[in-house]
Amino acid sequence: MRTTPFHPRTSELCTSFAWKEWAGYAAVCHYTPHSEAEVFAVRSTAGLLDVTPLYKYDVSGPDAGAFLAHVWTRDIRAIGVGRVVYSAMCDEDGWMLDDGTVARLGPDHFRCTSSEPWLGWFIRHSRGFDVEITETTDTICGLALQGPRARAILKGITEFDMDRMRFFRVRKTVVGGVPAWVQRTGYTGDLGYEVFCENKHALALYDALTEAGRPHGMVPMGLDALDVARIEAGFVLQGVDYVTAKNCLIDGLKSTPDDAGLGWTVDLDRGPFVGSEAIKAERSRGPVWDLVGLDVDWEAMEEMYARLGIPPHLAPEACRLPVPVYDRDGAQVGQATSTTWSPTCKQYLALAQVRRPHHLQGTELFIEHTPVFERLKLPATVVDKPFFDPERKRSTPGAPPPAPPPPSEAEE
Amino acid sequence: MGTALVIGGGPNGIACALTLAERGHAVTLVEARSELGGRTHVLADTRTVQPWAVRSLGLPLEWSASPEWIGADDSGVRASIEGLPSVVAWRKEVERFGGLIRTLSARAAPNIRSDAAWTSLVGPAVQALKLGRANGLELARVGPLCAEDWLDEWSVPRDAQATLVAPALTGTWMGPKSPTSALAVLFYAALSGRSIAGGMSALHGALIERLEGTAVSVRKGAAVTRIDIADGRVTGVTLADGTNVMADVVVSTVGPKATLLGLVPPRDLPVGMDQTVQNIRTRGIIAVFRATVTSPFFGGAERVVLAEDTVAVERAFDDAKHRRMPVRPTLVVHQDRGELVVHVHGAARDLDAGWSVDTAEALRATVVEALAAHGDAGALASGTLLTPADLEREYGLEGGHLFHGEFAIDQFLSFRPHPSLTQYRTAIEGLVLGGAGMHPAGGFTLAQGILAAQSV
Amino acid sequence: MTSKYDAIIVGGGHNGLVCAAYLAKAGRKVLVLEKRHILGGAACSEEVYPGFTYSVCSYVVSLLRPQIIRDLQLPRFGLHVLPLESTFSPYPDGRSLMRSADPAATRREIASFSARDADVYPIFGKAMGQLARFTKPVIDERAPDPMSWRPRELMQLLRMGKQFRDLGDDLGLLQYKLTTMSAVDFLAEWFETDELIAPMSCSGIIGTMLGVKSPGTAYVLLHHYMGEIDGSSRAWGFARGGTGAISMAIARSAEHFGAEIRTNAGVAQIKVRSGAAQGVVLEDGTELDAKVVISGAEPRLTFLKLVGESELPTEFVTQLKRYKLRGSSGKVNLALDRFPDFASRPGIGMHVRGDISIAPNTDYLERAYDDAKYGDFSKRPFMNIVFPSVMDPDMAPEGKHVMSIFVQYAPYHLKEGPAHWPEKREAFGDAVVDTLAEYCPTLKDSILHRQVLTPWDLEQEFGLTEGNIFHGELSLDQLLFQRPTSGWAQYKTPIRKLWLCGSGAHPGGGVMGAPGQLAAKEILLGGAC
Repeated sequence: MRTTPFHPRTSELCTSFAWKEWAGYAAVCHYTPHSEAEVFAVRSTAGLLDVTPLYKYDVSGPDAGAFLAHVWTRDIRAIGVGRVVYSAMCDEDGWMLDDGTVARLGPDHFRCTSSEPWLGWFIRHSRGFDVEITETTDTICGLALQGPRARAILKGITEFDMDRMRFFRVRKTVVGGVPAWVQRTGYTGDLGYEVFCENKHALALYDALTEAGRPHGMVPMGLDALDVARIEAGFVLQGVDYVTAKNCLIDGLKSTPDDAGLGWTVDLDRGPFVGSEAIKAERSRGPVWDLVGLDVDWEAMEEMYARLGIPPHLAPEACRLPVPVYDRDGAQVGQATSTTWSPTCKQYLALAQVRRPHHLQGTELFIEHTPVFERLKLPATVVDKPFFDPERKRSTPGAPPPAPPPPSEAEE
Repeated sequence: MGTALVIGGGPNGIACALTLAERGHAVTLVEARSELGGRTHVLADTRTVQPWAVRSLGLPLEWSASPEWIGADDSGVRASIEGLPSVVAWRKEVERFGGLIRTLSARAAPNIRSDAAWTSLVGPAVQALKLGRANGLELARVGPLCAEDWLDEWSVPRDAQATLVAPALTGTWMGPKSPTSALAVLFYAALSGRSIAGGMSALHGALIERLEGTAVSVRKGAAVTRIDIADGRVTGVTLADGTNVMADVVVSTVGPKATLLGLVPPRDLPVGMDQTVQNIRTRGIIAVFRATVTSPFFGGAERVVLAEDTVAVERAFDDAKHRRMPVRPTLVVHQDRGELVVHVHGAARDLDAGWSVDTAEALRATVVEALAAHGDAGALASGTLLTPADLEREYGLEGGHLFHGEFAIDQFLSFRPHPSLTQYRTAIEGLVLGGAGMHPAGGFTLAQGILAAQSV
Repeated sequence: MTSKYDAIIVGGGHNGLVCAAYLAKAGRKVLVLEKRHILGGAACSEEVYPGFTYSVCSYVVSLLRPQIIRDLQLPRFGLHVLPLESTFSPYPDGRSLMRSADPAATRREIASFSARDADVYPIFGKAMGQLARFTKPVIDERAPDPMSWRPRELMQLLRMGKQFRDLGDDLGLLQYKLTTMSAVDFLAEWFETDELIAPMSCSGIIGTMLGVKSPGTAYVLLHHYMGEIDGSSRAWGFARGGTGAISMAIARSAEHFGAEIRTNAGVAQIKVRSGAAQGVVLEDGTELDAKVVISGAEPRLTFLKLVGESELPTEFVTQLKRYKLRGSSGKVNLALDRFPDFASRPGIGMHVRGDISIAPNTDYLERAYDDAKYGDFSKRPFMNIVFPSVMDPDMAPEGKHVMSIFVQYAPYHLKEGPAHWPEKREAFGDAVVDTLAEYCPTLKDSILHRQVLTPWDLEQEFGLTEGNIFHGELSLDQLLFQRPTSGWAQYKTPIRKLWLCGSGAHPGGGVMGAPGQLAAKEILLGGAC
């Protein structure tokens, strides 16, 4: 397994020895024996997460925007320089391949991130586009700084005035003396930034952020805490909440953007792009699935445990094993793909793929739960995502009085 | 009936234009070169031209008994092989399957994809059943064989094998020791019949003459640079001079690869189709030598294969396979009233050394030297050689391949050039493919242009 | 002395033993006759040099059917298959490529040649996996006769037709291309790197007298994706104790079920009376009778040598005579004083715990084939290497190693004639070692003993006619309903009570055991014994 350029620091900090594989890299699950403190840090101070293993591609050339609009579901041509969008990517049959962000670093220069490698796919679909595609996964490293104090931490060490950086914007600047790209994005649903730099600057960047973060109570954060935070934020994870069509042997395992709750990322009102015909056809038939949030009835759960004579107990980490979801009649109508106890909301939450019309807000469903050996059912309600959505996530104190946003405003 | 535009003024382009005009279309034929005829200038073998195609076009051509293929080597011209009992027996064997092959070649290949109506498969199924159990099993056995093994089974001597095999391998990327080369030999033999009296030039003349009597508007020296497409539908073409020609239907006879990758704007091509087309194999391994001679070569034999035996043919293929300059290419010679047309087997399009004036001259010298022993060497001095690179540049033949696509077991019948394109129509409405890259394969049949026109 | 058996099996190779075990398990009285002093035929282990055990011929377990392992309880009788962990290809320029079960590591290895190919590789694997699921039943069932109206054949054909239809247009076409195209052409539709295509393509030529650019060689690529051992894609394995251990386990199982096995008992003749097999005559003159005789030997040898032309229909003799054997491979086994490091990747790492291909580029492979085409062994051959002693230290004394080198091409039909092999044997061995020394510079100094097996030796010693390791070329015209000949592809033969159960029957060669199992099934189904 490979290590990221931050490994000299992260390996020293990781006293739990809990690592796992992420895209061929060793990644920390939790730094200390329990991940809970890291979740609290994201919601109260800040957490610092190594996101280097994300696949990264730089796309440049006169047709870069047109090309990316061809392979991603959003009309990338329409975003302005310095903006970032979240988008989905589909295959020719309209099945989800991946989701990720696309940042416009210059007029003809974009950077996308993804959970799976797509260089071959991009090259295959780039015929007729004047673009150059470079994979930067192994040359550019990244850190996610997430939490309410993230702005304050960056402020002291960043050349650009962080008070003026708005949600889903990207800026090339200097952080802790290191040339870096700072983008106001993240996977926690909180105020946060992702900072990317060339590998050679990795340790300088890490040290600068650690130094600046210390007075603010920043802690290093692992993937387990991220998993809880992203569920609270209602974000889907490729490989868990939906599976890339590339890895599915049968269609039954694949998802369309609508199935994965990402229908809102699809811009159909433009020329054809990869998968557009199939998505149009699906829309005209009506999508079958949706990905919804479930709020599991805590009182019912307490009763369930009380009947067994034990206090309610949930693992501190999110659960990624799919669990059946039933309707009132006991028929299975879907599966909860991510479930977690939310330390922030004090709720038992789940992301679930359910058959329509069970996706409608307020629908009463049942989720399987196994306190001790026996499989039981708990009532759960379909609720709006995100479960946790603090105002600080998108507010910008130093922004000039808001001019009416351009219609192409591409926010989260 | 709408307007139709045919790209390519070669034999299939003309045949297509004639057929479309016959059916009431207003037809424009555009040809990039200054003269019509296309591949008729580089091919010479008319024995595989299908009589039904000639009839269908109403060409006033006479058929003559085909001059037989004669073998030759450095020691001179060998005796005829057609009298050999082994060859006679083998030819009889070919006729077990000949009817089926000719029938299949006279119509569009069956659509074997799931969008086909099952009824469309009834005809081919009946044909297969007609063949019978023994013939069916034997065809399944013979197809995958290499030509040499098959002919060995019939005890055809190896030198006679070379004479039978070399002309049949013209459109392939195979040698006589390649598996499935038996299939190419079988198809060529089954499709071969009598020759056109006067040869390729007579056919060329008849096509031009026939064209003049119709309302087809012909534009020579007009290279198409783009097929115009709007909303997945063909609207016409753009020419090199920038003018647009509108048409309801565009039939391209310049090859599936050259058309879909070269003329259709990449972003108008249905997603994923470029991969499909990219995979069509078009590796040319033949150069064409032409010379005008005053006294006959090869003692007047009109059709000569200059190769000692199958090993010599295989070695020439080895040179092509390894992209080397062929040392002893197999020469397939047509001689007609002082005109020599020689197919030089073993010259790879992607020669490692590259095709330049020097390499082309080196190959020309090799050919001249090989021919010199068989006639008045002085006459060869003015002979010209077209390398596969020249063929690609001057005749627009993708990969320098004389048939726009190799004959191969995965590129024939319903697989030519790909199961989704075998019915001549494409996913782009109004764009139709004709030309040698389409079904039927196995020789110069003149069938594709007509079948493509019939599919419009 | 004459004794009555239900079945006599000619040849104690792995297929003969599998067939015997299944028949014995069904309660039949079975006798297996093996000419050599040890069992296993070409699947044997021998201590040829003191302290060093060679898997003399066959050296990897490719597709040993899992149902055979279960039915015959082979682990109980000593079978332990260790998966080959990687496929390693060194190149003369000092680079190398290792593909393993770790997708991220494999991706990075391939990406150092082509990032595009690195991405395509798992997608290709997925497509192959889907085709493998279609093909698996084909090798697990007898081959249906496509031109027959019999209900059983029609049902089987319909079922297979439906399975093919269910693949859909794209996979269906891919399956067709896989069956007909050359390995290189097929792979070139997916990959751009010759360094990747070459080692992948060479699985298609093993044991055949064809080149990687010859149509029909793509099919065997699929075998790598059939995923039997451990349910992972690592379909190829190595048996602890060498390949002979597989045969020994099957033999013990067969004996457990009551079969009788004799070694040093070569069959000289299969007795036929009025078109039916009666029994066999051994080389020492002993006559043995049985209700059926089942031959695990190669078909041409079975019929033309053991039965005799006079007993056979002329048409069948013609078919047999044109049955292509044409052995094309040899084997070199080395006993080594120490491990020979690969210059491109020294040490005993994961890269030598799998199979190693000397296949630097496709032109190299074709040149190796060209030599053979004109009747000579390859001056610079394709080689497939395993180090059994790395995976199983019992194969060699401590710290020492055995190296098993499968070599192609070594055509049986030398231009001087096959009988000239003995005088060329050492030159052939030198070509192998000299070529390898370019990759392992210290190899020559560490060789303690060298065993060179030419196709001539394979024929003389193991009864592999023309040295063909698969009992007949695995070419399109000799597969499925045409193996060994069309009309006689369902283990039955024109001689009543004489059956085939060797690799010359469907589904063919490799240490699969499938022909033995399917033959036993057919024999029992028909109530022949």
